[in-house]
Order: sequence, then structure tokens, then C-alpha cells
Amino acid sequence: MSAADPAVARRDPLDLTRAIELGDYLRRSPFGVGGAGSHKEWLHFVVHTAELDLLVNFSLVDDVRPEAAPGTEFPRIVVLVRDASQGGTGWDGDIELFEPDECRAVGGGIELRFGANHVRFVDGHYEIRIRMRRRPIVLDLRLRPVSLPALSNNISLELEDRPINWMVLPRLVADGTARLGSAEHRLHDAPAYHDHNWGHFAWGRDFAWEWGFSLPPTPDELWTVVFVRLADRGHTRTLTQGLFLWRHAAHWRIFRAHEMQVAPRGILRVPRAYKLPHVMNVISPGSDTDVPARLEARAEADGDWAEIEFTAEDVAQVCIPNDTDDDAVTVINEVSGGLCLRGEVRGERLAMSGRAMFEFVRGG
Amino acid sequence: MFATFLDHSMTVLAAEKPAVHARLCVLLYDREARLEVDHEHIGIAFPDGAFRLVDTVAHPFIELRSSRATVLDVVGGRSTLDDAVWADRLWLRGHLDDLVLFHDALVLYLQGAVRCPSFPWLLECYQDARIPSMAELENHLDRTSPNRSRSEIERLAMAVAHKERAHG
Repeated sequence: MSAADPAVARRDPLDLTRAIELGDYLRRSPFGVGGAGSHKEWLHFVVHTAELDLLVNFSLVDDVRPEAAPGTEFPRIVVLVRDASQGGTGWDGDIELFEPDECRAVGGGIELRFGANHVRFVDGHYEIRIRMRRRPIVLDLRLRPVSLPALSNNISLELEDRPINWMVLPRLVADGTARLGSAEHRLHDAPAYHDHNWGHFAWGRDFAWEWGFSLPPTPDELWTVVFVRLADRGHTRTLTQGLFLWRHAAHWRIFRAHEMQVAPRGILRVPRAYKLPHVMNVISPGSDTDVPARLEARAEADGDWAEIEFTAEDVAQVCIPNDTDDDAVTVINEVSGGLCLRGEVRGERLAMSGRAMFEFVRGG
Repeated sequence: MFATFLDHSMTVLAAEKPAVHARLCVLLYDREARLEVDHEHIGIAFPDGAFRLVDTVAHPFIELRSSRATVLDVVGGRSTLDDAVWADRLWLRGHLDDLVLFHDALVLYLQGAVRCPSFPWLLECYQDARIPSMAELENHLDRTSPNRSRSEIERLAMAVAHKERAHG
């Protein structure tokens, strides 16, 4: 973040802290106190360095099996690491499930502790500690927010169904260490991203999403991009779409719905798709991803315009058992790549090239 | 060790995803198989729509020979099923239709496993070459699935099995 930018210099860091405290607190499921089940809530983080993509996701999901006691949840951590210097797919990671008595999650706060892992918001920073049990992955990260969060409530995943909600904090800078096997990587001002999602929905229902962001490589660059498109499972009907631009810390421009045109191009082909959980190599073998090699979007309204071009490089698949049946999974394709932004907003030219991570959710 | 692990895993499946357990028992109704894992000889059978470990197998629909290391490599994503077969780390014998049936049953079993909260724990025990006692297993299931009903599960399995038989 450039201290020379007057908009940033004027912004008291406590404003960011307060905005995050007001938006990012844990909502928690009402299932245990007589409310509806199928609540899902997760805190999602991505950090990029020149060599690494680090993805950390803490989630709490209601266990709605009739055999379980109402209010029981699945506390899980998903960790994905892509080390581009390793060649090949370069992915490592795991999904870990914790016992309820290993988990601490208090509604209203921003703190999750699952076993020896935690994420918490303290002194204006996110602190992430990861100690994987079965993979040699150790993360100690401190993420400093440098943009305002955006809160979106009551987003319909399906027509006439319960909405979900999310908060996006698109730009942070990360410091700390990532120990991957015998290699230790030190992070300094690495670009990072965070979102928080919560709501009632069932995996396997009639929805899919494409969601991505791009961060500039250095803190003094202006623009951050978030792209979202929600569609039905067959991708025949778009429910909502948006392109969100931040200029340094501030929301700067939102393009929505009919203001945007989105065009996927080609198919990303990989020799072997990395899958989590690992047993999915048996259940859902193969490398078909149904992920575009490129995704282009153009938005235009009121004299402003913006174009993004996301180029996919590599994919890891997080396969989630459907809630709606026992025979299929929903695949979240976590796609690492690069993004170019061009355009003009309020008379100012947009130009940015940065690392990007897109999620393409596909039904199985 | 594998026999106890397999038996425990079917107990977990019955307790935590009884519908999948019932479908698996229907799929393999009245069939028996001969398994050998690290020279441990195991007989399994599905008489009357229920899973049983058995001492002798007269007419196996499938014979399988493998190792704990291979099982863990496949489950852990370090090897595909195909790679294990091609490398002779997983040996299977049976008629083609039975091989297909076995694969369908394996995928159904794993689809159930990924939906059971106790499977990661049980698999970690197997990875550590430690098999929990029945009491430890029941204690675990009391936490994850206090509302389970074993008798209900078996009734369901048998009902589905009989229905399937009636429909040929």
C-alpha cells in the first residue's frame, strides 16, 4: 500500500478493523438450538507468492444425518498448496476433519480453532496457523487487510430457495512462513485474498458458481478484481453475475447482470488432476475438469468499461459428497492462473496483470 | 489386521450411512469373496443382506490379493486403481461381470465412506497399524451417531434385499 496515496493516507486503519469486525464475525448454525439444518459456513484464504499458491479453508457444516444429534457439525480444514517451482502439478494438500471437542467456534467472534490449527482476527490482522496431521505442511501467516470488505446478503443460489451470504475482503498482504516438506518459504508482503460465506444450502442442488479474483503483484498497485457468476447446474441460466473493482482500499466500481458478457474459451487440459480427498481418485478418476482454458468478461455501463481475461494454468479438485444423493459429488475446481485487466472507469485507465485463483463449481 | 479394519468399516457404514450399507448388501446379496492382504486370508460374505466375515469361502465371485501399502497408496491418492492393477500390486480374479460388480461395490462403499464422520479416524488408525477395539469403536459411534439403530439398519437391508429378489 502506498502511503503517498491520499485516499489511503486519510483512511484510519481502525476503519478497516471495525468494518471487518462488523462483517466477518461467525454467524454459526441455528441447527443446535432448534433452527434449520444444512447450514454451511466457511472462511477462505488464498496467498500468492512468486512460487506458491496457498489456499486455506476453515469450514463448519451441519451434520444432518438422522443418526447424528441435531446441532452436530463437521469442522474441516482444506489446505491446498501449489509450488510452481516443483514442476508437474506441484500440488499438495489434504482435508482434515476434527472431533467436535477439538473445535472452538464462537458466534460473533472471528476465531476458529480446530485441533492445532486456528484462524483469528486480532489487532487488525488475521493470524493463520496450520499444522497438517498427515502432510508435511506447516503455515504461520499474518495477514494485514488493505482493502475494505464488501458484504453481500441474500444471494439466491437457486430460485425460490434460501439465500446465502458472503463477505469479500479482496486484498490483504501476508507475512510469515510456509514450511512445505523440508523447504521453508518466507513471505513478505505477499498478496492475499479472503472471503467468508454462510447460509443454508445442499451440495448437489441446481446451482453452480464461477468465482475468482486477481491481485496485483506489488502492494503499491491500484487495482483488485473479483468476478462472480452464479448459474444453474447445467450452466444454461445465469442467476447473477458481477465484476467488482477495488481501487486501493476502496470499492470503486461494480458491474452487474446485463452490463456484463462472459465468454469461456477452450478447455483446460492437465495430465492428471490433483484431487481432495485423495480417495476421490478411485471414486471419480480421470482428469476431466470442464474448466475453460480462458475466461473473458467484458463489462460496460454509463461510459465505464472493463475487460478481464483469466488464463488457467493448473487445477486442483476439491470433491464434496452431494447432500442430495449418495452416488455423486460436486467438484470445486480450484484453478490457478493469471489475469489481465483493462478498461476505463471515471475517466481513469485500468491496467493490471496479476496472479489469480478461480473456482469453477461443477456437478458430478 | 485388514479383516478387522474391514469389519469395523462396515460397522461404521451401517451406523453412519445405513442406506449405503443396505444398498451395498443388496448389491452383493448372497455373494462371497476371498481376499488376501499381506498374506492375511479373509473371507467375506453377504448372506441374507448382511455383511459377515467367514472362515471358509466355497464359491468366491471375486478373489483379490494386495497389501496394506497398496490399499493406503490407492486410498491416499498416491496410486490409481488402474496403476495398482497394472503394477501387479492389486491382483483380481473373477468373471468380467463380477469384476464390474466388484468395482461398482467398491465405489459405492467409498461413496459411503466419504460421508461417514468416523471413516477418517478409522483410516488413520489403519495407517498407524492400530486397530481400535470394539468398545473404542462403539464409543466413537456413540459420539458421531447417537441416534443410530443397528436392528433398524439390518431390517432395512433385508427388506431391500428381499424386494430386489422379488423383482428378479
